[in-house]
Amino acid sequence: MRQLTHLTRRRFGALLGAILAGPALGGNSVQIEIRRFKFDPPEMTVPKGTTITWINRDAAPHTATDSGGTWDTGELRRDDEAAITFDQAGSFDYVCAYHPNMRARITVTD
Amino acid sequence: MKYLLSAIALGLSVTAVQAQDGMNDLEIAHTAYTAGQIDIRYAHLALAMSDTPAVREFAALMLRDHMAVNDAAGALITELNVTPQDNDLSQALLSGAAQKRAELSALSGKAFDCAYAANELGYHQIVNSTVKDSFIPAVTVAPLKGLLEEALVTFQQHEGHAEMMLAGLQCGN
Ligand SMILES: [Cu+2]
Repeated sequence: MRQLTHLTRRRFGALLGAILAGPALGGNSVQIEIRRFKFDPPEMTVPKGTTITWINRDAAPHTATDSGGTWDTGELRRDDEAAITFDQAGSFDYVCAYHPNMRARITVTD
Repeated sequence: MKYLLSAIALGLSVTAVQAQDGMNDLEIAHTAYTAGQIDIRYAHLALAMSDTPAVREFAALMLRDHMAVNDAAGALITELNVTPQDNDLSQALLSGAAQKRAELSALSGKAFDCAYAANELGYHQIVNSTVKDSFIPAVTVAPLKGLLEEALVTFQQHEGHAEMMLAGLQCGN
């Protein structure tokens, strides 16, 4: 698990994220939106090497935090984003560390 | 539009506060903002008074979320170039909260935790029903309605969280 970008902010942040997470990897990129206290989509299956970017659209800060403790976006305020690249297969249940009833899952395939 | 802000917001107080009919957008904005500020003050009190991890965690959540929502409200108010209007309901909330803070400040330990948790649950219940049933239907400016809808989703999370905190504290014993 490589955490590529951390707490990038708004447009500048998005650009920076794209530079850091983009072509260097040669993998897929997908996005998960956090809106109204839900991860959207709540379940996602991706091939390994995929970079997933979480974007928070709520005023309230959120996180995407692996329940198993291997990765964490850190705090995302409104319109913040963070990208994590998944290079090992596995299934990851994750939550918002602040609002633990926000639950979702990522499955990474070989 | 008529609604009652009942005693539950104020814990044991029996004062019922009735808002005037037909609050306008600026009054609604003022009261919604005030309701957030009140919970921020309760949270500061809890952080000063309680050593219980579940209570401190909840208070930190209230600070984080209510400050974020009120920041968004402040930004919207600036953008719309309007001034929220103080009103009877805001005043009633503030005086009820001052009384509740005085009550809470006299407690300590488990008694404080339980009273804080019960008040948070009751407070969010009454604020949520007021926002949902009175403010959102009444408000006429779209961005303000959007903000209230977002605030409601946030406060409903808090209500659920308060319920869990209260249950976890086992105050009934
Ligand atoms: Cu959250």
